[in-house]
Amino acid sequence: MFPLIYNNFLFRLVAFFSVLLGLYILFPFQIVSADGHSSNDTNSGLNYLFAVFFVIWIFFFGYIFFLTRRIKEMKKEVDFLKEELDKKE
Amino acid sequence: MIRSALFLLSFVSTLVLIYLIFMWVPTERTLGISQRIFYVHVPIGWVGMVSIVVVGVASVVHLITRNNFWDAIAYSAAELGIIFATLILLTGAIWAKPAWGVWWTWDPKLTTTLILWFIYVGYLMVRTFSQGPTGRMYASAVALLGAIDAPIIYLASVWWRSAHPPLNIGPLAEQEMSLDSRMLITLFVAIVTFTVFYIYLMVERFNFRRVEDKLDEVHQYVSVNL
Repeated sequence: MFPLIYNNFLFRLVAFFSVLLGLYILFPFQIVSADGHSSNDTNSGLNYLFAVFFVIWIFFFGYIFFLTRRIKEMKKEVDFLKEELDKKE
Repeated sequence: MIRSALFLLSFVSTLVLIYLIFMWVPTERTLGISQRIFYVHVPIGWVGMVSIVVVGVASVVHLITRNNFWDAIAYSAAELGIIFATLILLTGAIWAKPAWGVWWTWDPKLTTTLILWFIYVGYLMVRTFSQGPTGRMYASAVALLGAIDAPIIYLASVWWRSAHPPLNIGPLAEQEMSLDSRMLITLFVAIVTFTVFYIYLMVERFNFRRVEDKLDEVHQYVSVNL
């Protein structure tokens, strides 16, 4: 039962971050114009803001990847237990 | 139902937060755009500190009641806590570079936060390498150290003069350092967003942990009885 729940969970999380990533890619152009800074202006601090968001997304995607891998391992464990029970029966 | 509501709430509030950070909040005069890192760095710091308190309290309750429900909460909070603690250090370092000119300095607040990170790592290492009730007991002791460290991190800039900015929010915040109203609203939305997202991740990870525990029980049953 749990893999269905977690597939759903992962799907929702991936969808969530994908939408945010898309918005993030779109929005920086508007920040630049709103504050009068050029995207070429390295002193504006925009690069650092980019870096922070990049690191945050990388970590959350990494965590999702870790959970996905663990779920696959658990599916294998369940299959193994089923086989063992079938053999005994 | 609760999980869907939490997911929806965190999704909507994140969209609002992105709009506020990138479009609405004014740019700080001295630090420029890099100051907007503040709206993610502070909430991540808040969640990272709350998480170790959750680990500590749940560990103690588990030791008293011996109920694995509390142990699952402690473990889930520790796993999420290390992610947030790592993000505190990384986002702080990225912000420190334009603000101070260095990636890292041995400032009291930064040092106590690094200690918190080591405490999270220590907790998870003890849990990994020492299974069973003894391991859980040692891990609880480590978690308690972390719970003590959390208020020290918060008060570090009050107790010791440091390069880190003084407190802007909370009961001990200095009045003259109070933020612009739009900055405060953005910060408030950011804290709510990250807190809701943390609760959502906690619920999901907790349920996952319970399934892992059940699977371990089945493994033990099969190996002993069949």
